[in-house]
Amino acid sequence: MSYLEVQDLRIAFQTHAGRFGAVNGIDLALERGEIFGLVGESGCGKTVTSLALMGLVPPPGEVTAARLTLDGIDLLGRRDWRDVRGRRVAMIFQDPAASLNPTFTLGEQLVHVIGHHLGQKGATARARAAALLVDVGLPDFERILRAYPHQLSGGMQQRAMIALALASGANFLIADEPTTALDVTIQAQILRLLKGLRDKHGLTILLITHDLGVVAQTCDRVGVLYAGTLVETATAVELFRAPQHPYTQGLLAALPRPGSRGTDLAAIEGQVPSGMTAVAGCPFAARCPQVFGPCRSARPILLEPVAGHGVACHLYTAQEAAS
Amino acid sequence: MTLYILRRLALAGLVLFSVSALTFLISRVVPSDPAALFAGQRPTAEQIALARERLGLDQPLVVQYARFMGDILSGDLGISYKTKHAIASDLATFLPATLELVLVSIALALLIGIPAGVLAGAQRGGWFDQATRVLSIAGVSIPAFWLALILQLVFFGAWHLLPLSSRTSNEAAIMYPIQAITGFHLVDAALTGNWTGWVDAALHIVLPAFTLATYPISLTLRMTRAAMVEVLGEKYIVAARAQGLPERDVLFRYALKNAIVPALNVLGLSFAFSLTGSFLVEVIFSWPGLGKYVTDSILNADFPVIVSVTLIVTVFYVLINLAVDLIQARLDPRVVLR
Amino acid sequence: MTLLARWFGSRFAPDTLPGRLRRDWLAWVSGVIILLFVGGALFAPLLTTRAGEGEGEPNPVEKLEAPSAEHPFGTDQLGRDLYARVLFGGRTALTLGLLVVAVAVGVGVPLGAVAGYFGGWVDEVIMRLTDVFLAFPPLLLAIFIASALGASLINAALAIAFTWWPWYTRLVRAQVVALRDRPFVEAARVIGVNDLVIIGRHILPNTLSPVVVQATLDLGSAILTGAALSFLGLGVQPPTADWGQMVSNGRLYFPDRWWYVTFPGLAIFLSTLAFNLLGDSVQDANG
Repeated sequence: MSYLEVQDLRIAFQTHAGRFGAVNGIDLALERGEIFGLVGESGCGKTVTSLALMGLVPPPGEVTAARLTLDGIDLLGRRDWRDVRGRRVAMIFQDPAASLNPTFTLGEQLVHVIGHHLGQKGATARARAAALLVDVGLPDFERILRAYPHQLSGGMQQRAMIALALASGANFLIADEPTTALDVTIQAQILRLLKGLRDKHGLTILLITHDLGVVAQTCDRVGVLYAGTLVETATAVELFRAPQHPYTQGLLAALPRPGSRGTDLAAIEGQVPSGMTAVAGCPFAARCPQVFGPCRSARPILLEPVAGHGVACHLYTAQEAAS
Repeated sequence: MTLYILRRLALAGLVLFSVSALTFLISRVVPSDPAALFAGQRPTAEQIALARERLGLDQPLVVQYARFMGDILSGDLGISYKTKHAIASDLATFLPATLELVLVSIALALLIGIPAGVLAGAQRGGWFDQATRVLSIAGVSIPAFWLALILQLVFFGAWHLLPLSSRTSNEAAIMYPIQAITGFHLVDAALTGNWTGWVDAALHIVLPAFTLATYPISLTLRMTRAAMVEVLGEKYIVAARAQGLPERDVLFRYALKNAIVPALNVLGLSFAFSLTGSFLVEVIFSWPGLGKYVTDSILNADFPVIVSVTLIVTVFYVLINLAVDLIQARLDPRVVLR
Repeated sequence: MTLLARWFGSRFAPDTLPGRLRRDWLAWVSGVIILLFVGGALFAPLLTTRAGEGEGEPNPVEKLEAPSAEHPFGTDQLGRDLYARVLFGGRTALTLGLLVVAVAVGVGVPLGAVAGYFGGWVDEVIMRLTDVFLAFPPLLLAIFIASALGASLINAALAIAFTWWPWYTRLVRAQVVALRDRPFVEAARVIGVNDLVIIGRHILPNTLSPVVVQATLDLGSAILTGAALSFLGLGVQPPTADWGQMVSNGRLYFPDRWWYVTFPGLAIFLSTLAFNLLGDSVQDANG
């Protein structure tokens, strides 16, 4: 049994304009200690998937799944999330400046979380807070503990946010676009920090990003999301070496490479389907350069033509059927 | 921070100066015959001449203003034509009663308005939100002087639960007189351990304070609710929930500290409304305060009193707003940057 | 009116959720009360057989009678039918409200337009002036000015408008600042159109709708403030009917003759409430 098991996760929002399917049945399995990247364009359902793991999908969202377990604990239909949030799962966000409470010093925020989850108070809690800050690469902890979030730089804010997320002793960290708002150099530092924390504390990390560069630097395995479905999953190395799904191929072709400077970046034509209207066939069919017969009528399922490399595409369904 | 405080103080000084100048101008320029107004009800020609001389109406406005300010700064607010007392000493008598009433009503506004606003904002669109919405709009629409009468009718007339009017009952005033120390009955009675007197004073303040508090409660509630709705949409609230903090902490600690800064903006306004509302309410509850003093002055055309009270109350109001700004800067370190 | 209709259109769209519909229901109720109030004031003489008493004629044989079929709201100390007095009091309240808003708009809007259009020291002077006026507690300033002017309906309206105009100045200034550098204004300026003509022809018409909406919604607060002034004896003088004055007189016979304060007070409360509820709905629909 994997550390995190997700089977047929669906998240829908009932709005007055109709039912909006944000996530339409995805399967994930994360092993303990790995960094798994969830990649996709904005609006593909990455963030709402991660919120579902913490029971934070905002109303009127409805979450259903065939199976949703973390470390053997059932997360499905749970009302009381107290022993999950913070204790088992921690989360950091895209915009650290907005994710830290502006009216409390970092010391106050850290000590409050430590006090709530670990029952430590006073000097013990402050010592743990200081240790956490050192852990995330903020050795100047005395100043940081007294500082308000707006007094720190973006990189320091994100480090502090990581410290706050880990303060309660969680082993599973969801990092939602943790570096998008940061400079490139700072971005690399934060990604290195995440890897270091994984190595040091055995964290399992779900890294959500739209940036394949981030995936290449950090992740062990990757899942590619498109319009609320998982279209391809593989090890990071394998994905970059031999992308299978036309969408993934398009994404990789769109990456700027050395030497491509000045020329137009390849972009994938067309628009993501809105999710309001159920698509009968493959959701990518309208934009796919290799679209053919069954694509518009039947939804492809995730198959593994190569062991450990899943892809949901009729190009491979046909192959599989033939072999 | 220090720079911010200095800037804010300078601004308040400028506003105070302008307020005094405007009060002066309105009192001398707006009336057709200022001297007649200052001379009291149905003045004789002699009294008008006296007032004209005292006001120095033949002097240029600048000179008049200098004298006006000189008198005020030396504590001379003129003479009331009704009581024949120095207005400054009248104010000293009446102000504590009003301030006690106003402070109790502001306390009610904060104690009821803020928690109710937090809950309404947290359950946006729920029944509590709907109910408080209608109630608070009713609260800012109801004429205070009429509400006072209705409350008297219900709590005194029908149910005999609370006294009709005044600050103390006659029996208590004779048997357990409250020794004047601060002029606040509740404080003085507590200081001297006069608990029978304290209970009597407390019962007497309930209706007028609640009447005065209706507007501030409604205002505070709506502002807190609006600020909560905004703050609860912020990422740091999602983050706090993701950290597994209990909802009570998220609402009343993490969200409220951010929401209270904009909500406090109405504290100054609430204070202004309570003070001027007391002009209407004190008459009905026979509360021996500033409001009764002012309304009597209006009836008796005691213009010098009205000018002085306008100036004094406005100065109070400006200072309260200054205090609110400084409190906000203390609560939210980002205020200083704006 | 078309503007309100547009807001209402969006509020009453058929696809809104039940919770929103409930709110909208409140907006409808407030609209009906406002229509009743305005209609009652306009057609007062037609809605009562005792129009003369409504205008102030005493009727000494029926003093202080309790509500009955003949006098649904009872009678006052001069025997006048309170239902007729409340209807005619609506005329006073509406006149006062309209006067206040008209004067405040008349003063506030041009100042705001000038401040926003010219900017610089003109802007600075006008805006600091609004600061000073807003530094006074509003009712207190109105009392002060009304005392200085002397008690009458017009003076009460002027006194309230004095405390009110800065809000319109701020509203319009913000609008004008946003419009000032739009291409059509630039174009007019380039071809040498006079500044005042630009303000009057090109800018002000574009700021009109928020001003009209704000002014309509302000009628409620104007009525409430006017009632407070006349309760203090600073409003319209007898025998003209006025709600605040009626409560003030009725207080002398309270609580034995409870109806005397109840109905005029209820009229103040409901008319103000209706405008404020409508205002809240409009604000809600906008934000």
